[in-house]
Amino acid sequence: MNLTDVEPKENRSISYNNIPPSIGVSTHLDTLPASPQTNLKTNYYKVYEEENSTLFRSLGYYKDIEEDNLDSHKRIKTLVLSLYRERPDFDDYITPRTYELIEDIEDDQDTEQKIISFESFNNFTDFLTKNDNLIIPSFIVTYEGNIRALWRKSRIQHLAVEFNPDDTNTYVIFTPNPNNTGKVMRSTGTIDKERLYQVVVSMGADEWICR
Amino acid sequence: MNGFVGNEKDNDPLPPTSHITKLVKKSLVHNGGKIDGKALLPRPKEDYMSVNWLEYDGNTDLEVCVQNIINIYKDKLKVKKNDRLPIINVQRAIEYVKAETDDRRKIQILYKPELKPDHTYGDPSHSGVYGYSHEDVIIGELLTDIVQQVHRAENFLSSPK
Repeated sequence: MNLTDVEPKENRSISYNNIPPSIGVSTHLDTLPASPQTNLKTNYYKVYEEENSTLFRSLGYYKDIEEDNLDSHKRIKTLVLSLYRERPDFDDYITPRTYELIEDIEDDQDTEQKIISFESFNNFTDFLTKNDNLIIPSFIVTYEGNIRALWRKSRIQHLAVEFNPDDTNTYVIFTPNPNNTGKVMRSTGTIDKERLYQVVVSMGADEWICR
Repeated sequence: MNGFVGNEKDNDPLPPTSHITKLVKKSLVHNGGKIDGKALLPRPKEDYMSVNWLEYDGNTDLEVCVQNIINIYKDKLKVKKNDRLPIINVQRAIEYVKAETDDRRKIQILYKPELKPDHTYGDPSHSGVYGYSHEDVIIGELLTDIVQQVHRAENFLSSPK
């Protein structure tokens, strides 16, 4: 999606075509738990030493460390890196944007701003991974710490979804009314991510949020 | 302090030709500068969205008005350089929301100056957008459509009060 076609341009702090060095391979160890306790993780560290970053991203690793008492942001960083094999295109935008938002929130020190919810982020990336025909959306973090994604082609082709930790996701769709040229259909509701895509299709929004 | 435009009092509607803004954190701004609709909703425990009336002191130069608002923010909030200030015209907001909602929703934008305990003005620009709640997510999205300008706070932080 290219928001800059319809919105004022601004300077970006990060180039999304080039992952900043701060989140490159050389710092992947930062996202690992300091002291692996289980055999699986011990084995993982051995693999890491042998194979370096490639296997770090192996699918499923993050599920094991969910059980640890890692803070949400560390878990999110690990998750987004682990998704590389399945969705290498995440590195173009999702990964650097995630790191940028984490940095913003950690710097903010606003007591009203909650840290990013791992569960919300997991729902968001799970939705994208399971529906891999979707255009990668822009996304922000709400005060509640939820990921809110935006697919927007124009004022009447607009889908925003707030991914809640309990998978009660709130969506807003503006889409052209196929039965009334020039008119727009607007709909909002709460739905789990498994059925969210069905709603998108039923509203005809798949025509402009899919590649 | 200069006199207010038309000497508006507490709860008076803002003049239709005037403008409102609010401080939006960078984490609520999409790449490309689009303000997220969630930023333009009341918070869950509030019955209105807090905003600032740009022309509260009679000034109509929007650049000067934004600087005045930033100066007020500095006294009550932590303003960061990457925060944004979207500008919305009062009449446009009221008419657009009414025209584009199924229930022809009538929002109101009322003057709500904040007073200090000593009865001086803490925030003489403070106003509120009434008539919708945090659950009216469609209205939040509609308001993002009519943002006229988005200013970066950093352009105004260095100026002395």
